[in-house]
Amino acid sequence: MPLIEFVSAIVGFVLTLMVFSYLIGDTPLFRIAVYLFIGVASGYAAAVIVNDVLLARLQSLPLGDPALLVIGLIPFLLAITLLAKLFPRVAWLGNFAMAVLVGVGAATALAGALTGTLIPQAEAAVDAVDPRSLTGLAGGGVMLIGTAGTLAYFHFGAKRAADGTVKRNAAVEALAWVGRLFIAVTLGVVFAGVYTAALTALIERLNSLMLFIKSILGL
Amino acid sequence: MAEIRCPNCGKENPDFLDFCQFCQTPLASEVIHIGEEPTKKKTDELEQILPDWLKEIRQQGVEEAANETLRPQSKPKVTEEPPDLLAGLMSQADSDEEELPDWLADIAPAPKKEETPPPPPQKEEPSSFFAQFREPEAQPPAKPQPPEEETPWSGLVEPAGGELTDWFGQEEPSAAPFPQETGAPAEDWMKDLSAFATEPPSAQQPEDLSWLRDLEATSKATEEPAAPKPEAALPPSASEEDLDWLTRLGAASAPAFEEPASVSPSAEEDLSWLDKLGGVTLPEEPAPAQPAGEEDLSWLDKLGGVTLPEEPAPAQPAGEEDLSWLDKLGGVTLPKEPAPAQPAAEDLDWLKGISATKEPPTEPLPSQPASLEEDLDWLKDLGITAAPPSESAAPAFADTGELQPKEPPASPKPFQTAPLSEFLGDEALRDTTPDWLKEALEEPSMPTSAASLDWFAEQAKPSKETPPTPPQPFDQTQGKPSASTPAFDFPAGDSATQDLDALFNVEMPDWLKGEPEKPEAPQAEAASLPPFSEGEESLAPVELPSWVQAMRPVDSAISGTAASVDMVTEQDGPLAGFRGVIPLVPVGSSLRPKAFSLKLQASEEQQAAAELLEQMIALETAALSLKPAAVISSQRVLRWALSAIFLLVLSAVLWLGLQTMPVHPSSRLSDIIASLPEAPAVLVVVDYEPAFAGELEASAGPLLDQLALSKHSTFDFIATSPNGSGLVERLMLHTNLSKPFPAGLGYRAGEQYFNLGFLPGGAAGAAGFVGDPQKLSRYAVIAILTDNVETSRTWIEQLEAAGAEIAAKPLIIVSSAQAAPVLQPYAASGQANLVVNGLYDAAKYEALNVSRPGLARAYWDALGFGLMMAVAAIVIGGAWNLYLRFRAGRAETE
Repeated sequence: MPLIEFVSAIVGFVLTLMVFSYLIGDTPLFRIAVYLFIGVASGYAAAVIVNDVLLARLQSLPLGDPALLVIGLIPFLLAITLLAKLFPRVAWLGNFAMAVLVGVGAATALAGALTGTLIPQAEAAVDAVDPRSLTGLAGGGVMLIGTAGTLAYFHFGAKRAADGTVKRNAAVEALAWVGRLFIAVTLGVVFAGVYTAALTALIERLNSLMLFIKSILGL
Repeated sequence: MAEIRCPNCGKENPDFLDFCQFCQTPLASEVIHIGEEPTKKKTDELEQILPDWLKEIRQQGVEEAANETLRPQSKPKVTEEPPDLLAGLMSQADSDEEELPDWLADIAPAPKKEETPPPPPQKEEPSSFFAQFREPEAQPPAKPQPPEEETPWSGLVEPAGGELTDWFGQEEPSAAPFPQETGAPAEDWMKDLSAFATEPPSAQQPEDLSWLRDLEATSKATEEPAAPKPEAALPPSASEEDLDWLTRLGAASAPAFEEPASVSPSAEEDLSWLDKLGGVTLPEEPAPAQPAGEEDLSWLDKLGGVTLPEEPAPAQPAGEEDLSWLDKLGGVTLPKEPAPAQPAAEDLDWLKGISATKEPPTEPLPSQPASLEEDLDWLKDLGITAAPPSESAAPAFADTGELQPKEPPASPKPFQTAPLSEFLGDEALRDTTPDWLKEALEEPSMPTSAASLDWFAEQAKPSKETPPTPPQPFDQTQGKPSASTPAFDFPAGDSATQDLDALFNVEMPDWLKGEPEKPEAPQAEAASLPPFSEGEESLAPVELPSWVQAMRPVDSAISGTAASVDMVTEQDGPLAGFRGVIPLVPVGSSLRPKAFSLKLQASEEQQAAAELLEQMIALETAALSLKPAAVISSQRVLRWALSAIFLLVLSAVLWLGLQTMPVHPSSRLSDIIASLPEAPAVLVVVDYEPAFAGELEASAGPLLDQLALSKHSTFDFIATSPNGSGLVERLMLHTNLSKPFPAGLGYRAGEQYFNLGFLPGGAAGAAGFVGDPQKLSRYAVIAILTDNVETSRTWIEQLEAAGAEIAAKPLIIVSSAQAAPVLQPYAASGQANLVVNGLYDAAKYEALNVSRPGLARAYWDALGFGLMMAVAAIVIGGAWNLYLRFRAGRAETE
């Protein structure tokens, strides 16, 4: 085993145990491991950004083509203005760059959600109902009811009853109740996925420990 | 004094009386009845103990009897008298019953007497006592003596000899120093006084008053030696001289026997007034026509305090004698004769008060002749209003101020007011003295000090300012002198004051003893107030001084109590004599708030409620013991236990490399890869964090291994996270792609795979990366390794938005198990060709890829055991919770 891999394996083993110390409580070992991970990750991210974004962009500037160079420098200028947010007197300089980011990001997300999620998912829901087969009809019906129920659950329109209480329409209330069931199942599934993901991570860590131990032991 | 009870009427009588003074019933058992022979008593032995004056009187009576022999009409019946102590008097008294004595005849009916025919011859001669008044009548009128010679009867040698007159002196003490103003005015008042007479004099039996006659006769006899010339000393005019003794009566201490006076033979006149002087009330009888010679002396009855029904008094012309002092005795102001400044006027004021009480209480005076009306004016005002002070009113010394301390009397004439006191030791005289006269011999009961007389000095001024108050009369209803009778005011130490003291030292008779037993020094204020008398209307509120009215309690303050409390007569102070003017209760007590008890009157129920309230308050203030918090060590242990179980189980599975869990292989991934061209460029988007590197490496292993192994694909890794670029190498290593061959595929960076680095900008960066169709078009398959739904959805959306060509490229999403459920709809909708859902799908695809790289399968059993333990822990934990709830419910029910 190369030394770097051995050292990496030992560091990984120790840090893993330090994180497992959280089973006892919020121990300093757990905090040290957490701070270490956050620091290393942040440093690594900063290095990646400088190296992969800034330097890579600067290196890619077309120095020979002024038009492209000017266009290439605009992102740099906007990035510099964002640094003005660190100083209150000149914070306003970063407003334009921030507005470009938010505006462009919102527009991009809105367009991508509309064209990539809303319309395709609506079409998929409609296509899910296949009247040609009982399975498709049942599946489509369950999906339709689930979808309608979930939407009805998040429908907050209601009227005031005679006794002063605010109640929704009975049909809407019934759909909302059904939608609440689908939401519960969905969240259950998500929780199971989270648990599975966490358990998989644990297994991966335990497997790495076993491999390290086996490697040490020569097994 | 021994008393004898009358067998008839049962009233007490003095023992020396033979007949009841009330019903005339014989008192002694030795009364001689009809047909019995009287037993002769020998009283010779008593002759030795007779006083000289009695002997003289007897001697005089004998002489008179001898003289009377010459006048058969007036012969006294001396022979019939027993030889007793009063034998001489008896002979005189029986002298004449019908003929009035001169002195009485001159009082009122003297003119009438002149009109009337001479007395019948059968009338007996008056007693020697009255004869001394009568004798001067026959003599030529003498010139009036100067006042200095007439008034001082103080030079009486034998005061005891004037018992009867001395008694008068007691009645009218203030008249003693009265000047000799004898004349017609004096007679007028006597006439007026006669108007009060109600009892017919004829109704009286001369025998009843025989002892009095004897007394008078004896006294006369005793005075004779003192008068060297009795005949010459008689006043020339009977009308004047006879009244001299009366004038001296006003002096109160001057016995009339000192001065030789003619004894009136009219001893047979009705002397019942003398009985009445003793307080005897005779039964009322119809009054016959009063003869002219019989003077109506009922006014003297009034003096005795006896109120008798009045009868129309006959017209009585004014006499000639100067009896003005008697007018002043009645309080009448005589304007024609201003009183000279002399101390005698002071005494008249006293008499004025006395005479003021003589007014009949109820019955008005009958019509009287016009000649009497003027003189009776003062009587009309009696008891109603005080006589206005007049300068001419000699008795009103207070008004005239003559007796003020600044002006001592010009000629103080001492007079003796109580000479009878000297005879207190004479037992014989006391025995023979009637009860009402004996009291005159006793010690005075009313102290008159100089201090008490000072009040009169102060009374002079206020009397002028204040409205005239009625004179201090006797109580008309009781015939008693008022307690507030004004006294005299003399400077202390003055001789006149001393004389007045002696004047008041005289014991009053019974009928005059209506004065208060405690004659305290009257105050000036009290003197100005009328005396209190029930039923008397003189106590009008308007007559009270303003300051007294101001001192009256307010009605509102004593309302409700004044009427109920007893009326108390004030004994001293400025309100002396008032009754009920001061309430017994404190003034203003009704106005003060009622005192309430501070003790709470609470019932048992209220007290119980109060105790309950106190307990509640005490509980609120008491600190409650906090329940200890539930121990959570069990959770820690449970957590440790579960952790230990999981670690041990998973470690064991991994250590052992168990592959017991079944895997159902799936061909969907193989189908997609099979449809790809040879050596396609695969864009691998690394969009996960280092924490999910183990899962995503195991999940993406079968895909990368199959692409590399079957298609020899080149991989371009682009990371949307800064850490993503670093995970690419780890991914290539752990999926055995970068491992050298035979353990791995021997992919090297820059040749078979490219790490494009970090793609900044999120959705914008993804859109920009996807927006370059030239770059994206060379990729045959786009694989997104993600643990985040958002980033994966952004890539899906941006790829969808990049165009149909880009969207048509196969998109395989290798997702963590936590993001797979959300990304599954994109696979269902066809936007993604395949979603590898974590380790579960990786194991299925790995099974079709000859179990390469093997990570999925290695983790599969551990994952399986871990899921089963998780399910077991959930089930056991749920069951435990149900048990706890059941136990709690059971405990609640129990």
